[in-house]
Amino acid sequence: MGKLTAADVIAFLRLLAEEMPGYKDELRDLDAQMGDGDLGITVSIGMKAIGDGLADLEGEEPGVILARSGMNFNRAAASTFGAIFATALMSAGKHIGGRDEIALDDLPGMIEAAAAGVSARGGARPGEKTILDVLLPMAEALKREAEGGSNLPDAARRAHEACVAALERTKEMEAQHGRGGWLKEKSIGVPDPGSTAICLMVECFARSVAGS
Amino acid sequence: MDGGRERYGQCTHLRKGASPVKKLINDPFAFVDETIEGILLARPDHLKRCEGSGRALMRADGPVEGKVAVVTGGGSGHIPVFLGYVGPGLLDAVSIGNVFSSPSPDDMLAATTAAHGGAGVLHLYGNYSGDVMNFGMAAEMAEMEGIEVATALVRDDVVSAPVEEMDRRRAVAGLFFAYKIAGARAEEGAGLAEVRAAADLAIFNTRSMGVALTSCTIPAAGEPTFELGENEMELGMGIHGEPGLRRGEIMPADDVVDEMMARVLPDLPFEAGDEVAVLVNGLGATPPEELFVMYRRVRAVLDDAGIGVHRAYIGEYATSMEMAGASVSLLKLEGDLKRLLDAPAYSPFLPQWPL
Repeated sequence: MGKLTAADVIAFLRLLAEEMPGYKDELRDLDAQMGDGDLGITVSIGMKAIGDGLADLEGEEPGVILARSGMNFNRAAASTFGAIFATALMSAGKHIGGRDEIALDDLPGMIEAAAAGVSARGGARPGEKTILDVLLPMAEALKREAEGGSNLPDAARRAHEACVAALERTKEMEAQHGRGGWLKEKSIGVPDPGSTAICLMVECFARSVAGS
Repeated sequence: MDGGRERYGQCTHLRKGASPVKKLINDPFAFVDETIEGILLARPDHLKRCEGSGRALMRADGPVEGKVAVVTGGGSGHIPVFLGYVGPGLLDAVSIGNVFSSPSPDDMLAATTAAHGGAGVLHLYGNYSGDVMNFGMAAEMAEMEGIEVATALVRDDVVSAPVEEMDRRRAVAGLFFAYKIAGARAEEGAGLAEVRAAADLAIFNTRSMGVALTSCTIPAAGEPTFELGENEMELGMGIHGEPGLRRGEIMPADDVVDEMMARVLPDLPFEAGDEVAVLVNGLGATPPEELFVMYRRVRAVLDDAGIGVHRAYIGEYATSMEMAGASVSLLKLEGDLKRLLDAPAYSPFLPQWPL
């Protein structure tokens, strides 16, 4: 596979809508240690909304599909994570603009744009136990892959590995934002719940790209 | 209707042996919408839906042409916060999220555009990350539609962060003072910058602290948000069960008030010669009598400190479902705040005429 078409993006989002609700309890239990435990239900409802919205997005460009799916997620499951995730998808979508296809070379910039959007929206910086702490290492990994002349399936697998390693490092970080921010040092030892959800999505991405 | 009952049945089943929580509800997932339905039926002269959203309400006589609109929003479960403060001299519109969850930017945008009377909109709400981010998105969308938006964040809970990190503090019952002041300033015909300045003045002069005696239950969750022992209380707990200052054996009301006031007074600080408004707020399951018991001690502490009381509000102003407990908020009446606090206001939950 050389480039991602609109159909590939829809297939990836459909896989998210099918797979992510299955992690509802896992995410809830993780989030209950840090926040109010609603992340499982948020991701579950939001992903179902993404799946339900895909039919209306047939024929749109990849950037529009990503941005509108982000909005669909947060409309159904408005929350801190909803706002962050919607912002990430909207920023990534905006980055590629009205292009018909996404190449491997585009992915690092899209993830960086997503991270920049999230940072502007919530005021977080790297090292503060947020999804930035998995997005940025993943962008780095994708950049190395693109520069090394890798292909999409291999690059996606490496991105997932980078994401998992980065998630492990969030355990040692002290939360500064959201409800977790009121726990401060009590948050140490627990991986960031939002980053955990992102990792699971990247795994779906790697699977989606490998399968086609 | 039957579908609703069936889902409720599943919800009770999910509780896995936990003692069932008694609630007068139907389908827990319909709880928020049924609340809105009921309030609209009860108060058709005061409230109506905003166009394009089932989760946004506004003044029945709005939009008020030429007036700055004050718009708020947040999760359900805190009535009268938020929708209870929509009315003349108060708020123009509100967006309503699920219990303890932020509303969506679309609902916030619907409230903003519906309430806009051509003079700009103040987004005035509590400092919670979900609300901040979603209102941020709504403000950007409103600006794209040519509506000028300013924002003020309520941050009155002294326990939630040290005073030098006020940006991290969360909002509790002090929301009421910010609504009252900003609403009065907007009603006077002030411009957007002036209404925001009045809201900020109220916010920086408000300090609150709460105490929780029991937990609360989000209908869709079906089990209590946190556990609190039979004889325990938690000082400083937030209105969604956020961790407070300390947990311990329940104490007499006077001792609880003394500990709260010892924390609240030096935080601003409130000093001899100051004049304040006091709000003793019930969290949902505490009877009004207990709030008056607390108020007499609040008054004694203020008298001792040489601080005068201009107005006292005693009752339920910001609840947390069926949580038992209370909070004390003080507003130092600096500058125009006294005039704005005294201005007439009306909502189904806050009828206030001149003294």
